[in-house]
Amino acid sequence: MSRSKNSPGEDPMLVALKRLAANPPLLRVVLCLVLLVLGQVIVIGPLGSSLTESRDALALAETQLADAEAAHTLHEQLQALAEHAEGSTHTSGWQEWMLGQVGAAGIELLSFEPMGTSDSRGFKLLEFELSARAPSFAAAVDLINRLERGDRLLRFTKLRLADADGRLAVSATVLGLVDETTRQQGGDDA
Amino acid sequence: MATSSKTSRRCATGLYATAQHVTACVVTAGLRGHKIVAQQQVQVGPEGLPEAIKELDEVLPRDSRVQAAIDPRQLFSLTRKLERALPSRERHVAAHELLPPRLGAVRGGVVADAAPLKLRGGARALVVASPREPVELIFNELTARQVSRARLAPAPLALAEHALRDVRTPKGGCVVFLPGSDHGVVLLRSPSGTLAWRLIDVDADNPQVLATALMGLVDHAREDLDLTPPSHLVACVGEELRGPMEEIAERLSIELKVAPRCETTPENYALALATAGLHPELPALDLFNELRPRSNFMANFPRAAALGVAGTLAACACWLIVETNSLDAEAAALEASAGELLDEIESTPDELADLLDELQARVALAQAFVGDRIYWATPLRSLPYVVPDTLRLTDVEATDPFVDPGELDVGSDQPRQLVMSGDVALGAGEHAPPQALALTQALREESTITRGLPDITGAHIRPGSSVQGRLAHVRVACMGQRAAP
Repeated sequence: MSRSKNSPGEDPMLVALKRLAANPPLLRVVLCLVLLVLGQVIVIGPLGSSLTESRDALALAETQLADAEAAHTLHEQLQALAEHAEGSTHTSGWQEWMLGQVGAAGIELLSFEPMGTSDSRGFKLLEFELSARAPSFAAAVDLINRLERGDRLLRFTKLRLADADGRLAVSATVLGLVDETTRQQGGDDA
Repeated sequence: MATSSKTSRRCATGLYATAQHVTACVVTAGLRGHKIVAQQQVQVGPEGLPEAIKELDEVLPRDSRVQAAIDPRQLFSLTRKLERALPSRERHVAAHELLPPRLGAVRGGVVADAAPLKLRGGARALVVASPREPVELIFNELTARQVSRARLAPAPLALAEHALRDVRTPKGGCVVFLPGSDHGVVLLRSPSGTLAWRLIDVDADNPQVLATALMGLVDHAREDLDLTPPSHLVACVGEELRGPMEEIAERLSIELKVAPRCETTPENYALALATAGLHPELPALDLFNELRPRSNFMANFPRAAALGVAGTLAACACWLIVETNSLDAEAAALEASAGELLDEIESTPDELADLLDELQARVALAQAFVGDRIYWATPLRSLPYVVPDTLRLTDVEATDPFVDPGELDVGSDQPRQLVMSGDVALGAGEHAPPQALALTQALREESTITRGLPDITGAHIRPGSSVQGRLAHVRVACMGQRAAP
């Protein structure tokens, strides 16, 4: 009687495994595939996900740092600006300051009238009408220079210098910028 | 002579096969030792061993262990010293390397097995071989009957264990004699088991043959195995043959111990094999080992490939872990830096996006207010140097509207300009004073003007008159572009 390798009624799966075990090349391929699949599922997959999460976290941190640096820089710029934008939002404070500048320039102030205010992004924009009479063109330019480069943020939106009976009439519309956040932090100095 | 076919849950079957007959014995384990539940012997006919085993169908329970044996005269055994302990997977290889040349058989013509022996003075192995045919016939028949727990061991070893099970054997080595009408057996035993055996063809009636066989075993122990010569002769002959045994013991100069009679009959062999089958934990030779289909899994296991793949996976895993930790550390450092910056401006990461938008809008407004404008004092201060002496300025008008960056579409079309008006006296017959062109040219060359107001459109001349004479009214416009937001 010849010896049979597989007993009758043996589990087909067991038979297939035995055949696989008896075939070294196929066993090598199957084992490598099984190891690769298991490695992918058990090791590489979870670690890869973790790495992806870490990369995302790093990208988020880089963005956050860039934003923080930008915010810090902007904040510093506004801090520097605040040194020039200090002052009251009350017109009386501006009038006193204007009288001082006009007097220093040797100019006769005819009127300095507030025309209105508007709010924008934490700033307050103050509009004034200025009317003065300067003894000379140089005095008028000196006044303009004092106002533009003074310790308050101010710009001329309209300016007119006209000859008036031997003197120089100065009329202007000026716009002042006040940082309300600075005012809130430092308190109203009016 | 079937006695019973009843089996219990823990039972074993002894199957002793010779060329003439097959004897089976089924025993069960009980509290007081084993109990014979079935015993049968059938003659081997012309059809051979398989048919004889089939006739034992009623006796052989399918769920019992089967301990089989063939006629010991077909076996060849060898005990020898080894250089090193024998790993289990090399047992068959070693057995094949040792025995077939001595048997004069080709390698495939025998089945063999080896059992390691633990003795003082080094490793030794008991190697047993048998012709392949009878062993293979029994194995195939048992396999066809789906008997999965079967093994084939040398019958003398099982019989010796059975005969000495209730006998206190000496602590040192001994030689054992088992009588029989067909053949007798002498064995060399140590506390760890049987080391060697020899068959003798006569009963104990011829003391000379027995003494010679025993002497051969004693010499084998001393000379071949480097063991201390056995100190006792254990004769399983019963008290009635004590006399002849004492004579032989005296001749060998060893002590005699007489045990109950145990003959080498087929029934005793079958019973001893069944009894041995009740103790599967005992290490034993098994000549079926070689015939069992092996999965070859371990032999064919691609260790190098598996190690390579596993190593690659491990390396990938290590790299991923190191890379992940590195990225985590880097992200933590960046978050800490961002946190420090945010602490300085008294903010939190959650508020950062809104804060950044707000700060950008505020800075854009401040930039538009402060940066995107003309400091009028500078161009005005340069006017006296560019206006011709003969031209008298009467009016200077400057416009620089502020446009909120957030509301560029409102008022963004308002021009930024500087308009100068003046009078110049005209000579007789003169219609276009050169001062107008000179002023325009001078303005275009004045950097303080062109920096913010590069588009100088020229002079507009309108003739007029006054008390001094004829005049020309000159008007020059300098236009500027608003900076891009």
